[in-house]
Amino acid sequence: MDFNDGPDEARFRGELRDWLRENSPSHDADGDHGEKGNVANLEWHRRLYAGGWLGLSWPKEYGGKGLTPIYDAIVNEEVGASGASAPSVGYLGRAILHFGSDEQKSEYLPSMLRGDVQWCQGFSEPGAGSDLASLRTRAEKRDDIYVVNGQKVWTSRAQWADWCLLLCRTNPELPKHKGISCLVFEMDRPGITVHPLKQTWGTAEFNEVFFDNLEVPVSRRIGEEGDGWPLATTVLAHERGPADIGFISHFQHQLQEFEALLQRLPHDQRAEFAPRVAQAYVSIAACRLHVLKSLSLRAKGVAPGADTSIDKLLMTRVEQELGALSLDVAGSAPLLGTDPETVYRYLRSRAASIYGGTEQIQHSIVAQRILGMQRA
Amino acid sequence: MDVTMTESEELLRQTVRHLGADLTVGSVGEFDDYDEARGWKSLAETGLLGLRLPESAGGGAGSTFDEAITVEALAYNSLPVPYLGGAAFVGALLLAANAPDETLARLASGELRCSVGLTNDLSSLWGLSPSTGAPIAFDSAGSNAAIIFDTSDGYRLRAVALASEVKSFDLTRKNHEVDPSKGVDIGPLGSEIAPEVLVGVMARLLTLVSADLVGVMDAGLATAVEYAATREQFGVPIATFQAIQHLCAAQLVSLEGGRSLTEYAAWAVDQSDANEAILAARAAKAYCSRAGRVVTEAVVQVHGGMGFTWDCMAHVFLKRALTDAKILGDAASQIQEIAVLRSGRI
Repeated sequence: MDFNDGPDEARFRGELRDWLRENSPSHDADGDHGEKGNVANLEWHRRLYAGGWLGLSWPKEYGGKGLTPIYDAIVNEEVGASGASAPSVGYLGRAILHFGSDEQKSEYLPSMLRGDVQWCQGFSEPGAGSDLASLRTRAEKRDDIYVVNGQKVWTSRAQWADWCLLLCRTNPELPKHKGISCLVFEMDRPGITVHPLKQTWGTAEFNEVFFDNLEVPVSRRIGEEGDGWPLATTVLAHERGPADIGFISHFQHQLQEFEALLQRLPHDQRAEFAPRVAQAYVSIAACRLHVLKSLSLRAKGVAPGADTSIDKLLMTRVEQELGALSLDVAGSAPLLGTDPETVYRYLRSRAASIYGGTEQIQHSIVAQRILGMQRA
Repeated sequence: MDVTMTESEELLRQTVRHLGADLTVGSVGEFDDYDEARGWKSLAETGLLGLRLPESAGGGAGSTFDEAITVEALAYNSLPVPYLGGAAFVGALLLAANAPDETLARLASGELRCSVGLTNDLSSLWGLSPSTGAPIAFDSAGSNAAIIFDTSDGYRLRAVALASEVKSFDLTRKNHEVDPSKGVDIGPLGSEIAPEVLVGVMARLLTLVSADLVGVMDAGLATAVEYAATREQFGVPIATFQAIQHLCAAQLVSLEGGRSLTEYAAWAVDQSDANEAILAARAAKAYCSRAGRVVTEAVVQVHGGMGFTWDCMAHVFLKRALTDAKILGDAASQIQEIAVLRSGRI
């Protein structure tokens, strides 16, 4: 067990700190959770990539640096410590990396890592949430194209995305897990309608996406027909996993804000909230250290599996603890319309136990695949 | 950075788990008449009592991480031998005081049988903070004396006599009252301990108690999962019910969170400065104290009515976890300390 940076890791961390002192994200779009915020995030993503700080654990030939995921963790820690959040880096790309052809990897991955092309994830459907494998969006093969019909929902950032990675049913005759395939396509093709859904905090991040005779070339299928389910579990394991999501930086950043806020509170309020902020520090540390262990396993070549569900559940606990703390420390302001950012933080924290697989699904995964408890 | 156990750390863990399983009781009823001296002798013979002591004293020159692995693996087996109190705590204090090798060698060989005196509320080492009542020698099965702090002239160690045994809630440990006025000679106990050294000692002790909690949680959860696989209701094992699965899964999340904090703290005691080590140790102790209770309560819950019978191990885990939670300060007091440590950093 060694938590110390190796010499290369230490040099990297030092250089990153220097870079971050000179390069902080623009705060022009702070508090904007719509298009302006999305543009600002992309801009920050591109600057980090251009600086050499993103996509580190990706292969060099696709725009990465071929380093261990420990470097992703260092970026998360340092970006968080500098008071910013690290963007989530292409967990969708993991599907292409594992299942795509060399040609597809070269075509899609470098621009994804650079932040030049924005992707969305066409997974959930009105009838297929936790039971994702029951999805019904149909892709019928006609010669060298698929014709896609159906509907996706909760598709985050579809209204701004350039490309989509879609799970669809190519063979309805096979058992549900076997007949699913994965297609990728540009979002401006004919036959796609995006309908933003206004969320509880008032802006739209996710969408309904309708497909009406959308035509996708067969060459845009990722993997073989029927590879869709293992591909989806790969994506979800990475989405639940730490390095591709950047949540550690986001937690460190929020903790700093709370610790700074404590110093400004009147004495009685400080006495009330200091233990809760200290408790949040402990919860974040537990999550961060567990994530480091998962990343160390990955650095040793162990593929992410059911154990990433523990990371996700620890992350959910922290996110919701911080959300509740934000709400409580803000007093009545969120309820009286003067603190929309706290409203956003609190409500969005409640989604942590839904997205990427609900808390209940994660608990089932942990119970059955780690604790070995038998399915009903 | 590599946050996984080395092969030798993993080997130590497996070895001590096997040893603990061989030495421990076969049923709850055996705790009362357990041959503690035989268990202690086995720990001495395998070199575990001197694990962290220098080679010049016949010790194994192991790390705090190794010691934490050992504490956890023995706790996993609910071993009613005072490794934590009688070897790890005593060793930490003797090392901090630069006790001579002759004393340390007697600890490594198993000859030195003593424990450490805590305040009556178990929240602190006796002598370091104001307290009323007689000190309590914690984890004192087989002990002939207790080490307490003499603060009349700096921080020094002093050995005093044990008085009567206190009834212990925890079935796996014994405790005694201590008579601080009655000094006993257990050999030279070293010299004055500098205050900054004490911070490191505290970090080490808190980390070891956290490791004990990790072992207890792990054992409790394993027992609950095993029980759920065999206990049938409605014609099927209760392990197939989501209600049981989700309850157990949530406990594993807490256990693994606590394990990660404890592993870092154990590493930090040897490898980081005292400020970082004490923060890491208090974080581990805060989290594990709270999680230890929640997890072992869930263990009782999974066992249903069985969990309330004396012969079921569930209450053994619960009672050891509740005891550990109080030793050297409960979750709330650790959180208070963390708030102070963190605010000093902004």
